[in-house]
Amino acid sequence: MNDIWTEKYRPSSFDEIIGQEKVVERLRSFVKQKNIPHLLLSGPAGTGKTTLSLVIAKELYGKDWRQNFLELNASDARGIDIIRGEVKSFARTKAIGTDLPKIIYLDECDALTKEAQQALRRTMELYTSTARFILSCNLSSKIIDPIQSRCAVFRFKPLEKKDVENVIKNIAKDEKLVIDDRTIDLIFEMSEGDIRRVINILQSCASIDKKISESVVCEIVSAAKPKEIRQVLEMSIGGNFIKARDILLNVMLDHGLSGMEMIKQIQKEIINLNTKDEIKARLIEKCGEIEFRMVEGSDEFLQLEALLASFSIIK
Amino acid sequence: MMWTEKYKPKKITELLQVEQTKSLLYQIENYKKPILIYGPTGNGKTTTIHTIASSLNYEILEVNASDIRNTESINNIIGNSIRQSSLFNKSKIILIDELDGVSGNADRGGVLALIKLLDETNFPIIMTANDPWDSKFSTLRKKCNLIEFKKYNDETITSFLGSITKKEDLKINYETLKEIANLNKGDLRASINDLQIVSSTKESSLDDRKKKETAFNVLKNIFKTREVSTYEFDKTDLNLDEAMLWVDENLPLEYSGIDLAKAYDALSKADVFKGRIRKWQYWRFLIYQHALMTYNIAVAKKEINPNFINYKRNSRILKLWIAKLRFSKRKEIAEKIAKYTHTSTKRIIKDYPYIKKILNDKEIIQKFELENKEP
Repeated sequence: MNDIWTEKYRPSSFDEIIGQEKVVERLRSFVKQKNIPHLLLSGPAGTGKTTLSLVIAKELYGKDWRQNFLELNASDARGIDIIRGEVKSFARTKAIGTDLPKIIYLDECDALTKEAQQALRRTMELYTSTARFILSCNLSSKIIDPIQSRCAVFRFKPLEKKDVENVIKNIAKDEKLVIDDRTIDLIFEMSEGDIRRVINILQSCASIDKKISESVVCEIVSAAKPKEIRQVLEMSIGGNFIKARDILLNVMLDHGLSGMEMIKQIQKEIINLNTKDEIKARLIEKCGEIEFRMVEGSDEFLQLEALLASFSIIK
Repeated sequence: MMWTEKYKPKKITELLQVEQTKSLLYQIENYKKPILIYGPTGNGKTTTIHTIASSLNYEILEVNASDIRNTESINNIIGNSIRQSSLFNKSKIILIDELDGVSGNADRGGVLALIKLLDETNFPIIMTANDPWDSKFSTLRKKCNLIEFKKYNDETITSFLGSITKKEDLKINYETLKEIANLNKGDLRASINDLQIVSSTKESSLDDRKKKETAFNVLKNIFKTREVSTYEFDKTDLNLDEAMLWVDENLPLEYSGIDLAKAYDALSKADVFKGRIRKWQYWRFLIYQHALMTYNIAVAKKEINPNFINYKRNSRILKLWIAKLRFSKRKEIAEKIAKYTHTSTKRIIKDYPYIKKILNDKEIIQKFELENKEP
């Protein structure tokens, strides 16, 4: 049975984990002493926060881990009340097959508002006797101090090249893929140290051909970064507003992208333009201004249009 | 019921690709060479084949090209059934659909196996492809008769949609049908699907013509003069959201360069005030929203454009709205995958381009019950 590789190759013990050596070492000693504090795992996407939380549960509870581990995602759950409700019914009873507290894993906590985080803090205190919280976030600065001070904070770094290489080679061996070093380099570059993306790219390529080539990697990655963005930029700078706006709308429709995602991609693409640095600097500044208005305003596309119109007069 | 099924042609005379149908009919009845039908998605390639086959009383043996990986896999699917005679003694046509998905090149993989198959079978083989000019098909191409199915133009699609609205007794205006056709760039199947979505969720307004007249007069005042009241739109029965879209759509037709940038800056600020009103329910901000989108835009121009401009209605809201409905399917899929891979729906949607290919895998489709996956 074919599976999604990000799950198939997710490490299930400390020994299988590649990279994040320091974090792993300390978490391993917590588990060994069977004494887990609340944890705050902070770091970019795809660096092992969820995996390590799952490993902690598996190592602590063995085969019963599922009953003693509650996984919630702050960005999908509809509000803190839902989260509190689930936590309450889960933490009310003692853990099965052990004297240890249960674990509640709350992912993407930076999606919670400050008020929701305050509520979360009270919930954490309320159930400390029966449950431990593992919180994860991308930016620890978005987590309020009272929560940070209750947790042992661990910072995850983007995976290093040697780690990514190891992961790719392990999977390649298991799945009988043919891949050369240059292609591995390319996947690493495209992944920005995000191992989930690495594995997804790898599986997508493998679904086309077991021999992974640079061109297929490029094809898959470019689907995620529409090349029309560059065109939109060049046209709007050249003053062809109407054409630029048409293409922009089509990209959004075809790829199902929001205005916010578009402005992020535009901002990233500016740096690649063949133009003077001062102009790029002003274009980026304009992007920032419009992104701010987007947050404040109501019509994302109208804001993007204002951005395109402003590009033509930056000289 | 899906309208794409309900309104599928039943007889040869109902087929839209008239010339192509004739040519295909002739070639099947006087079969000499495999037939390769090509053209963009949703323009009736497969439908035409099925309709012709059923009227000629042929049995179709359909093979999806993505299942063709090597000779062995072809034999597994097609091989046996070629040798078996049909249950009702019908003749067979082998239909290899969506050739673009076949792997490999002329020297290995699926394409090579396919070429072998073409050489060995006596049954008529018809293939469909979007892009037969891909280099991997160069050898294959030479062995086939090619028939091009051209993409439909917007009028053909619009009038087909029109005939459906009549049969379904829908009150959807012509403009909307045109938008749907335009949005789908010649893809009739997608257009019909969109029409079904639109009909099921949205009542179309009938006073469009009146609205257009009103908007026209106000826009003319804003774009062609500087003497504009800041409440220009209050004189009309257009609501402010609609008014803003009218300004937005037509502004670049009147202004350009620095004037356009200034005017859009004003419009963008008007939108910010709109957002603030919504957030804080502080209605006095309406004054600024009105002023920014009328007066400030009127005075942003250095010179008045002397040309007559035929103002257009704004279509992007409809388009974005249809796209959103379309992508709701994606969200459903993402929810399933997110739960399984311990991550958030948002994250999966963000990474969708990276995992799209994975989700085409048959076993993965089964595992997550993604049968109705998005096109």
